[in-house]
Amino acid sequence: MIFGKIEGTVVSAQIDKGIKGKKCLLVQTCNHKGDGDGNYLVAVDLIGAGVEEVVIISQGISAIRSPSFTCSSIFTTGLEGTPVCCLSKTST
Amino acid sequence: MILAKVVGTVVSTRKEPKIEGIKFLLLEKIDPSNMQGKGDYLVAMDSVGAGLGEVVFFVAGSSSRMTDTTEGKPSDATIISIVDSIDINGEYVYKK
Repeated sequence: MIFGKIEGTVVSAQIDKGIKGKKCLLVQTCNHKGDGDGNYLVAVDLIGAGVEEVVIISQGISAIRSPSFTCSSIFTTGLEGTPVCCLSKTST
Repeated sequence: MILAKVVGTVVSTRKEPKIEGIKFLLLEKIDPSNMQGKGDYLVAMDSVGAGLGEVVFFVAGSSSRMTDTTEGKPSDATIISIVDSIDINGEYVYKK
């Protein structure tokens, strides 16, 4: 998992059905203090994060298959088998 | 998922039978803070019908084999979305 800071949103109509209807956020990866490093990625938001918030992002197979590895209470179900990265919130 | 711009197509005749019939696009990763290319290129399978010049985001790794187009195929990067707009801190940096 990596730290990221929410920078904005990404909107798309033409999107794979696996993540249709999910909110996509633009995230800048950052250190533990929230200082961005200039690298950006798009992540699916499962927890209702907002701009400027620092979050933890899981990537790869963890994002798809492991709804229980952290903060299990805020993960929604129904993501199994969809092509996503996902988010969980952290406190700074 | 990483933002990128479609900068071209890649055509191949002789290839693994499993990937026949799939469109390959050449992507250049972009920096959303200035929407400029980073000079970092890759080839991705297309599952949404993206075209030249469009801003897209793609998934890499095992996620890329989870679309209907690429399921069970040796894909390492798949375009899953054509981007309509991007905003940073409430200001649009890209609109289709």
